[in-house]
Amino acid sequence: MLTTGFKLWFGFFVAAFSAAVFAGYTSGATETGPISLGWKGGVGNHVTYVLFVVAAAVFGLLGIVAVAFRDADSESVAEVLGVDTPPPAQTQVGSSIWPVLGALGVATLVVGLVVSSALFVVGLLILVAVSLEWTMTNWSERATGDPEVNSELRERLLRPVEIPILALAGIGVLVLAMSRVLLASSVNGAVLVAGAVGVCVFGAAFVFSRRPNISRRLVSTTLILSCVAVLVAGIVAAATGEREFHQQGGGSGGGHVEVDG
Amino acid sequence: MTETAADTTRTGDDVPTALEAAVTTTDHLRIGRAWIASGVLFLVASLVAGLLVSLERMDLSGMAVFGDADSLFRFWSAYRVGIVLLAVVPVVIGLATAVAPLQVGASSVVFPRAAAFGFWVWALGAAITVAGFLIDGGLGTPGGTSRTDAVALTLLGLLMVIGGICCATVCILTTIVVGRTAGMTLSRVPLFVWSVLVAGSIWLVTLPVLAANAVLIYVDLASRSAVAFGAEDTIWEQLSWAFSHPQVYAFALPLVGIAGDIVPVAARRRHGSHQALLVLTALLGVLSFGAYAQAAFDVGTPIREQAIFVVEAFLVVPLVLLVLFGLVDTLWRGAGSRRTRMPAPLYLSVLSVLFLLAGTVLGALRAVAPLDLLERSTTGAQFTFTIGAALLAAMAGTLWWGDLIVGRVAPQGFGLASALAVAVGVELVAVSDMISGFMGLADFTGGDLSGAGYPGSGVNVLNTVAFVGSVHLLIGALGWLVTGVVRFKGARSLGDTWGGHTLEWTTETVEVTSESPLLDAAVEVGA
Amino acid sequence: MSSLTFAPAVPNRPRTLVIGSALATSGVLMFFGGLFALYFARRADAMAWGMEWFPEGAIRLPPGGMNMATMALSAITMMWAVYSVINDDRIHAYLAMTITAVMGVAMLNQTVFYFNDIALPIDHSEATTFLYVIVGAHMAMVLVGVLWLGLLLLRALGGQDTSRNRDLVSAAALYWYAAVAVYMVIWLGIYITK
Repeated sequence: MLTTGFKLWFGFFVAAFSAAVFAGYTSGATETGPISLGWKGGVGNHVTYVLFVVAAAVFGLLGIVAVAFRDADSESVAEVLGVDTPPPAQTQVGSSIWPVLGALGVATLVVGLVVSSALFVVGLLILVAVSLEWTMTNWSERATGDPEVNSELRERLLRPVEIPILALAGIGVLVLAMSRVLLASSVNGAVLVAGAVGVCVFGAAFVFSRRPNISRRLVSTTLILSCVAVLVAGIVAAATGEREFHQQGGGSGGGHVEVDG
Repeated sequence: MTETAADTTRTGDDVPTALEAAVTTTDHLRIGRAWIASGVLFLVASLVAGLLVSLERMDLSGMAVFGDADSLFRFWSAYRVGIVLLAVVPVVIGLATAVAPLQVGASSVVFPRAAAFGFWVWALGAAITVAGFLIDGGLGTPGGTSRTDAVALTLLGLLMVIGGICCATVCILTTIVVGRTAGMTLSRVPLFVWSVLVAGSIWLVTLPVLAANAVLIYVDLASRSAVAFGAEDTIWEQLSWAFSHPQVYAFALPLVGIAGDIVPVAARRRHGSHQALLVLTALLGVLSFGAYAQAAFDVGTPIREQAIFVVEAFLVVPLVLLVLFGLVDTLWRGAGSRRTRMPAPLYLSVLSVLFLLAGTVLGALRAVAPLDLLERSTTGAQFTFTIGAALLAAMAGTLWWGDLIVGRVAPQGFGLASALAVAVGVELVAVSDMISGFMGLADFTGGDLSGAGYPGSGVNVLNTVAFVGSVHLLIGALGWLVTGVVRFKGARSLGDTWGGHTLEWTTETVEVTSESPLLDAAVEVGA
Repeated sequence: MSSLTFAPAVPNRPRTLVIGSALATSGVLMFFGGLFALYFARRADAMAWGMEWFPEGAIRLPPGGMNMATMALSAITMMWAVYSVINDDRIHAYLAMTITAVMGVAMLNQTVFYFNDIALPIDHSEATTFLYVIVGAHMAMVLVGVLWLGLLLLRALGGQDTSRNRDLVSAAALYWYAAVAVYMVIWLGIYITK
């Protein structure tokens, strides 16, 4: 039986191939070129002909898939599985950070192509990491029928890898951002910034330690906002550039570096 | 109906914040809302660009707004790209992501994480594209005054936009094919689902071709002092087929489904022939394949003067007429019944088909060689009618299914007024551009109108009318935005708002809000 | 020593991944379709005007032929992987997927070597721009396929590539066959007809 999906896509196939032949013969094709894919004779306008032929091939592929699977109708799937009611096409999955992180990876990669190769590599690394995490999440969701066990499996496998890597990456990024800020500030400004940041870190730690029952969300929000602030400041500072450095004392290797405020 | 109930299984710190939930969601309703909201925001931005272009066109002698023709071109092209790929298509995808799974009886979109990924890739790509346009990039200019790196950024942003749209389309189409419930064969799916299946199939075979064009341009641009594909004055020509006849019909195609689902519910009558409408939609899909119409690669007879282009342009008109006939027939048979209702989305969806008809007629006229309309502002008029039709249908769709997607009621009157403002805007812009085109005005006028011999011809008056139309469009889009915001504050929806007969009105939606991928308790969305 | 037993996961609905893969692969094929259409159009135009397309001797058949042979063989090993998974033959499934991925890497390696060898600048002409874009895009396609196979192997080692989850491998196979088909056009359209 020809299914509706097959009729749709195979119809598209017929239409696209007919259009290719029609376009070919009305744009200077010779002999049987348009029918024989250019084997005997010219095909006319190449752009039109090739695009219609490839579209026909693609629709043909979809048509074959549709008819082979009987449109993946619920009844045919149930028959394949030998059950009365087939499982849902999609089981419920919870929230996930990987889609947005993956997209950020793509964006970083893209901006890196224009701005700097280092950023491109960072984007690539993000994408590789997200691919692995995404795969492992998918794997763990199908590991057993018990969601709690699945979750535990995932945690046990990935946490020992995730936490050190994320910590290292986080520390690296923050150190880099802070160094940009200090290098962009004037001499006295850098001292002030370093002091102020130190006081803030110390003060926040003091407050948190004094109030052990403080909401976890407040702590995490404070940390996230602080990190974002440092990151933004680092980016702004990097865009501004470093302050001017003057070498004093002449001679090679003899002078010390004095920084111009 | 879709108000999220409190998750009784989680308290305190375990419950994700609104921001966390929005960023990490894989729920198809939330993803759909994100597409729609972002699409409307980008629509407003695109219309602002269009408004500025209209303002400049009123008096080109001084270039008071943009300063030079290249900047004007940048905004002109940004308007066309923006309104299609950053506004209309995303809103349609949003509607499809939210509604199509429910219409076929699936509890969720298939590959929900990929669907979310598609949205985020599109959103970030859209932001990059807009940034590219704003920093003197864009998709080439006649004078070649753009920054090369900014043009590259715009192209890469466009690639992300295409990638995001294709990814979302794959998820939706897979849901339609695989996610259907027992008894719902593909020939029985609601017209909106069918139109998305057809349109999505065409998007999947045409947008990658646009991506191929963009990659070629980007590589040429990045690898040397571009002379072949990356030459600035040829970039837009290589990409413009995607924003012109016949490809624009592919973006407007879902309007047939939106109107096709609204009309029978309002008329309280089944379509005379559901199958006939399925076939017509599929045929429209076939005729909207526009990737071949690449004028930049013409050799010998220009592609837009070849038989395939002309035949396609003329065949599409009777098809739209038949669709319109089918819808009117259903309404006619329902007329007089006391149960017949005339809700706001009905007017808008029927109006959208009329606009599409106007667009296709103009498309056919453009294909008549002696009229010499291909490079005239008739092109803009045809674009405005067709994309305006899709926009109106999208507005009708959000008013129709909004209660289901958000779970709250919107002020229908205000929504209707906003959509009518858009309709008036489309009419004014398209008709004035059409007449200007017949008078010889170029699609992109570039520099000084007076230098092109237009003063006294009435073109300036028509440009003023087009400006008024652009103001209407912007007001309508802002009204749409406000309608959406007000909806979120509105009263809770009572369920089947319209007495619809399709599955989405009988399915209880489920929204997942937990942060753990594996331990979530699906939150029943209370009726 | 006690052992824990857990209920198996609810089976996936068959066809889902394969249909998703077919749709996505369609998009990828059309991307190449777009590139080929423009390539053949420009090439035909250049030929019609009697202009040089690729510089004399720049495109050599043996490297392209070797790559074609590698890709063709990889299609067979991919079929072997699908067959093994359907028959719950995990050892052969691992082997077949690994060999397929290695062949993909070999193809990438050969291509990089060849392009370094001919040292044809990308901005030499329109033809070379096309050459690098088309071959480069195909290399990206193969790389994605190799990574996909790698991730599948990861899941296979976790015990999931069985006949119950045959769609995982079938979906990747469909994509891989498309990569082979695209290379076939590259081989015919670029390496043979030059």
